[in-house]
Amino acid sequence: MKNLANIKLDPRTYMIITMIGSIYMFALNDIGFYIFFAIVTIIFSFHKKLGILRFILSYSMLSMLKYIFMTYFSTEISVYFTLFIYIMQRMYPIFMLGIIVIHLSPGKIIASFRKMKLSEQIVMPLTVAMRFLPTIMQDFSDIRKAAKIRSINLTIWHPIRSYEYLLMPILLRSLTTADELSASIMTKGISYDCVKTSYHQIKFQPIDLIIIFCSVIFPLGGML
Amino acid sequence: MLKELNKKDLVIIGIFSVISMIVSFVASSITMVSVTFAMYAGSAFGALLVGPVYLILLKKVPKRGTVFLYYTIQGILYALMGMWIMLIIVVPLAIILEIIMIVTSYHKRFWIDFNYVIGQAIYALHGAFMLYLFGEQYIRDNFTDMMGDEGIDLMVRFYYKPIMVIIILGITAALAYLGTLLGHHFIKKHIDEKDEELS
Repeated sequence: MKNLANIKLDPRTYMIITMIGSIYMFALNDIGFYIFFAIVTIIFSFHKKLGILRFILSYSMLSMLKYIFMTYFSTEISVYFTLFIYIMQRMYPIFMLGIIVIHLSPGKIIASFRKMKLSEQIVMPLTVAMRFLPTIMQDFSDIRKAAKIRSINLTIWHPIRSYEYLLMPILLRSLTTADELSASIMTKGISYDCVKTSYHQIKFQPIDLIIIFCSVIFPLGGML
Repeated sequence: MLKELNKKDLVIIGIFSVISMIVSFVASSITMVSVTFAMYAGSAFGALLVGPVYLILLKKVPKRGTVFLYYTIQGILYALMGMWIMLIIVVPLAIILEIIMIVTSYHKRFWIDFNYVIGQAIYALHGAFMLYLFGEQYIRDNFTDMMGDEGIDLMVRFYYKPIMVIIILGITAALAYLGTLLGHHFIKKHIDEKDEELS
């Protein structure tokens, strides 16, 4: 397990496997899907800090829930829930890969996008968006808590007011964040017109190629 | 085209794109209580709620390339989240909307609203474009597990009937327009007044 945590994949490998997963997501049969899920679980276990156990537990709980709905209920609502759980389970590998990608350091993401020859004008907002995805979701939750402390009810009965109280603090705070972030990256010389180098070495290693190969071929083998 | 944007503008576009995605995703999830309702109003609710985000973005970054980047970043994020088909639909849409903005104006309220309404109305038909591009058989082969036979039958019934497409376009355009009104209200209340105080 200690050795697994030392394996560092190229960020582009995660992106390629995500694309493969999105094509396979609903095209694979159950065996093929479980093989793909197993490969992603192994990749996920390279990142010890992200906590693989909670994903396995939540997946198992969803499976149990699906079994209960399928066995003990036969209403239209239970069919809807079963389908919903099935879709969620099928999307699990993509969620897991997404979580790995958004937890990569922005420097690594920028370096890998540059290696992909993406325009600097796309690389910058894309990296910011990926970096801020978890932060903004946390912000929404914080604002709801702050509103609760101030006895402001964000309810469906006052939809416009509630939406305003939820959205505007995030947008205004984002503008301030943009100020600070752009000042920070300017001081690091991002606007200097030269070939940019990176502290992170971005290069496909044999392990990247093996994992991509396994992700493409093994799930298909499960369909035979 | 993108050279006009400075680093701060790019950061703002990145953050606002991700906020729009989250808001739109939550709004669409609410309509998923019924497949039929989601067909009619899935994107429309998103269009209503994302309106203020889009308008405030264009208020802060009224420069060439903003609209293109805003939609393209969302398309790439969707692709990274496993919905690569969205990229095929969103990038041409981003180019069309950017051309409209370049030909018209980034500073006139009417054209900003018009651009948003048109963009959201076309975006609402992403399911239909998927069906027209890949055909009914491809959708049945790949998405039956996800949507069920009934869901795909409904999709085919909806998107191959011009009247249904017009209804979806109409609902989305109407709610997108309401979204722009909401956006202008928020801008007036929170941004213009603050700017006046500062000046």
